[in-house]
Amino acid sequence: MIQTQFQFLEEEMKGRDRSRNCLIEMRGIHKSFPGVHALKGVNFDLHEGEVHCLVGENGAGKSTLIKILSGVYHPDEGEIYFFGQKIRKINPYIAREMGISFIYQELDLFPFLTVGENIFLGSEPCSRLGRVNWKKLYCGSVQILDSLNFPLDVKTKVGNLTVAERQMVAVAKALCRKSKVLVMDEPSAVLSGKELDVLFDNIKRLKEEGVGIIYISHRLEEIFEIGDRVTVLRDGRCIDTAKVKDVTVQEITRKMVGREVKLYKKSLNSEVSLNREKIILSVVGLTKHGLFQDISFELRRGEVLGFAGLVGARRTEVMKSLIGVEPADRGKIYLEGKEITIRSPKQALKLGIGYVPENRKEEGLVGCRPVVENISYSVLEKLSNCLSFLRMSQLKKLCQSLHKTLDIKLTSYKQPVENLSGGNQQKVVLARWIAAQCKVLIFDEPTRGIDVGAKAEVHRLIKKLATEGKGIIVISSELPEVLALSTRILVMSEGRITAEVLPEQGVTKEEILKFALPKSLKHEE
Amino acid sequence: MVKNKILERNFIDKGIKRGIKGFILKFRLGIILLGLVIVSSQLSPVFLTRENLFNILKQSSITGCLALGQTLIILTAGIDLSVGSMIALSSVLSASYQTMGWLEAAYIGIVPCILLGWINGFMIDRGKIPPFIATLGMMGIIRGIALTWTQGYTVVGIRDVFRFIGGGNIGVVPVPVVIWMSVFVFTFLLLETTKYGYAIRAVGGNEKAAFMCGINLTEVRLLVYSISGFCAGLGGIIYTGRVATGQPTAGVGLELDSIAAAVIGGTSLFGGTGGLFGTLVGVIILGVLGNLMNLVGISPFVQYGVRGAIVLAAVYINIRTRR
Amino acid sequence: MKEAPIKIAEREKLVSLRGFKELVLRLSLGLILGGLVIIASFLSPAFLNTKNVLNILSQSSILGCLAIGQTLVILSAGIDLSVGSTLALSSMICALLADYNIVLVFLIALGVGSGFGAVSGVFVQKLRIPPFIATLGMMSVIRGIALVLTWGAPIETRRYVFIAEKNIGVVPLLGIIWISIGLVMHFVLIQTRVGHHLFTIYDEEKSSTSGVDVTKLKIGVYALSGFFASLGGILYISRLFHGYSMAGIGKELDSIAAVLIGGTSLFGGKGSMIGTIIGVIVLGILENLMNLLNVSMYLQSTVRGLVVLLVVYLNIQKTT
Repeated sequence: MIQTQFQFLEEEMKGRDRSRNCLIEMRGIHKSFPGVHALKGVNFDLHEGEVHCLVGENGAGKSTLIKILSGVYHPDEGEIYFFGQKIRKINPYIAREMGISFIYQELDLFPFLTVGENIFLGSEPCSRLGRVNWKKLYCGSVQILDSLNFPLDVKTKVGNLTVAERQMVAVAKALCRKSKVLVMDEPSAVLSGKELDVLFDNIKRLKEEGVGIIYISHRLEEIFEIGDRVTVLRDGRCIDTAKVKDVTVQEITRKMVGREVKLYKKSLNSEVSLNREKIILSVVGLTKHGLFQDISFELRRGEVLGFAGLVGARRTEVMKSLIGVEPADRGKIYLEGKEITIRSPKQALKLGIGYVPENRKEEGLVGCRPVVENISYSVLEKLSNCLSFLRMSQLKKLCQSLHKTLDIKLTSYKQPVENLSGGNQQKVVLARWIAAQCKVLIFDEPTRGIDVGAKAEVHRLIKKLATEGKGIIVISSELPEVLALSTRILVMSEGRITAEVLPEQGVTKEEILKFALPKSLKHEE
Repeated sequence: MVKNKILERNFIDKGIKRGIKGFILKFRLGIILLGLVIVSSQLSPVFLTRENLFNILKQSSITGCLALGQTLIILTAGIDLSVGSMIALSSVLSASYQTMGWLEAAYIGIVPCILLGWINGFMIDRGKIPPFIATLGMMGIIRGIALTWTQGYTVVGIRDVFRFIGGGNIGVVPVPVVIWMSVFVFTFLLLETTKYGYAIRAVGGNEKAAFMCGINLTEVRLLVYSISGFCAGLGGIIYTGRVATGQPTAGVGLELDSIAAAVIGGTSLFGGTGGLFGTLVGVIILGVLGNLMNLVGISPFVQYGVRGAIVLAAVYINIRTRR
Repeated sequence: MKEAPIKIAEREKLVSLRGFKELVLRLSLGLILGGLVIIASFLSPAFLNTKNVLNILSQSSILGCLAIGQTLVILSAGIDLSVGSTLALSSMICALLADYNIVLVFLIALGVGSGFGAVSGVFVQKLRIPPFIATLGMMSVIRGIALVLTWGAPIETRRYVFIAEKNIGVVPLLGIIWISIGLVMHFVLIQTRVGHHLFTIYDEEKSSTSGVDVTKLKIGVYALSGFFASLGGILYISRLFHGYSMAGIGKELDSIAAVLIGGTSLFGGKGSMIGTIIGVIVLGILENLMNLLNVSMYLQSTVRGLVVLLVVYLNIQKTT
């Protein structure tokens, strides 16, 4: 009979002192990427039998910290201890061997393999000749899943399971490996009521058996349900670590967003009246099954419409459907009063709608190509004559003027974009879309991963574009940014628009965050 | 003061070293070619004669044309394995219709290749079939068509114009070389000065980003595969002229040479980086190497194997220098 | 906990429906085979002749070996274009060493094939050269070696003919060899740990974090492909009683087609050796049919190319 995780640990812990053994300790962790100091001297530890929650806004450094723990990144400075031993080298394999399991959002399960096969991958019970004992494997899987109170048909392929079921399989896999540490990254993002209860029950049981759990989540109510301690990260710093019973939701929220409760001056021309004639884009009832529902809003010339929300609010998906990358199922879009259908980014561009992507490395830039080419992609048609030849002198002039306007630091226009710093890369992306002279520009996380100086320049640019009469949409998970830039803010949560606020009326970050959090939390308030 | 001077000297030294390294990297192609030429001239007195040098260029013309089209395709992160068979088809078809007039016969050879290239592009773009297997299958189909058309026989009765194309001279320059250089000019202009050229490299460098910028992926792919078909068709005409027959077995292995030339010339198989001028030099390097092996008496069988080894070596170096 | 039993019952229902769908997909392959047989017997009366059927089995033995190795490589999301050349080289080795101890000769041929295969595997795994170009290059190198050994001409020898002539009962030995090897490999894939892991190495990141030794396995599949291709060469020389350096040209495409017909996905991770066996038989029937109908050899290769493209297209449609 296969021993379940619980039985195994019980036997292990029998003679042991159960008081406060430190499973993981991270001291003074620093990590920088080109242009960004992601982690600034972070301390973090995990004790036996505790659930230590890790919270923070997007970009606070949570995932960087975890990636360092799993060996994907190496810290620039700092020390890491596993079970009291200093570790010099980590990679995913070593982490696994030491008994640390990671349950990510993108689960590392094989869709074509069955539940049982996935659970036992790498530790299949087999005879000396190498023949797998399938009966033992499947029985064992059933046992593990039963102990989790989550029975599944262990012979179905994982690809046929729902996301929640797959998550449980991932937990079962971690248990099968007899892990002493579980790192769960936003596990509840895909779970609902009953499934969440099952997950929490299991987490509680694992706690009792001495397993240490690092739980990353945006949902503050969960922290209070199962957390023992909570650490708040902000801007790469560890703001505070405290016992959950010693803090309140408000305190945590404040620590997440920062102490400044200042009002942000509306920096735009207050003459942007709500004149109906100036509506440039109108979206009605945009819906995509499973992603977002009933998105309706208007965008006026010269205004900056901010979209605030947390990760998972689906703001990017809405915008991507707007420009035709993944069109919505239902809904209408009106540009300057006329109804339009957009089936491809090329169409969107032709109509004058531009989208500056969130992930500039994957969707924004062709890294190996030079600056001048990257800038030109959106205006290839405009810059070429009837024989398809590019008007090189015009292109050069364009580059020069953009170079000046944006103050891009580069050594030559022929330089491959990937050699520039993060901030300058982003400026190149911006340059391209400015060159396209769109009527509507959508910025998705425009200042992610760039340094403070460049951030300010980008903000200045966005405001300037608005004063030129364009309609601007800004998606940002950084509330100060949204507040500073927008004339009007729409808050989205879980695929719906939950609020509309006007910064000039003096709304605070906490109030916005309230609308951004999932529904369940609001009941508590 | 002394400390500054020492620092300065170190700095200059390092700068010089870096400069030399950069120079070598940039001109490594030229250095390789130069090296080969020197070695060849030592090993055989016949090498540096004008006759031999023009011969090398003449022999490389067909591969040269293929390699130009291949480079455009590889820049989009694709590959075309069917070009060798297309030469055979073009050769056989144009040879069979010589009675219609030389220009008509040439059209009959080239146009089907363009169409088949277009089909390749279509399969790859719409059918989502990986380029290597789409063109591998096409390679077999086209070869089969060519063989079926002639039932394995060669076609005779080639016009004088064709023979001129294959073997004549314009002034001192052989006609095939003229044709090859014309194609080079055409594709070079396309790649470096038109919107399509920018789009081609974008598609290869980052397909997703190119799509998001409004570049029409389908258009680009259909274009490059059709051009490759054109180059192959043209190559087939030159071939027919040279051997004065239509051969269904023509072009075997030439697809590999065209890929080798492109990779040697610095074009990355993953798309985005590379250029036609490098390919040009790559073709010449292969030509010189082939000539050298001939002069030294290495059997064509060994040469066939060496070709494969060269591709592997070139790809490996290419991958290493990207890191 | 009252919820649980209801949930299970619901799930069971779902599972049986899903299982049904999969069953239909699996059956489709058998349906294709059956359909083909019916059409063939319709088009040519000679088809269902026992001798003809057994002939198909032995005729497909060479392709069978190649396809078995190719299955393993494709499962790892790779491809092996050098199998045809390895076949040729192996046949040449057997022909040239016809005077030596037969076991020794076989060992050398198989060893050489595996060796070259392993080299391809190293290129793919360690040097990160894309599989199609690594094996394309090797294809050329290996064939070059085969050509050099004999200056292009075939070498006749009747030494190995006995394998082709032998029957076990009514069934030709050649057929038994390749099918039983296929069945053994099927067993390995399904029942052994190593074979099971082969279904995971197509995604290196995921599998290595689970402790699968991706490097060893990946190089191994290419070595095995070379091994089976050499075996194919041995069967070749026994059937056609000559070693020929130009043998196997185009066979790599056929081996890929057979694997894909059998349902293995080009992108790896999914597939079955039984499917490959059926795929080989399908292609064998096709060839046999075309021969009986006196279709020219050249047209046959065109048809085979079209079949490959069609199969690839369907294969990709099924996966995405």
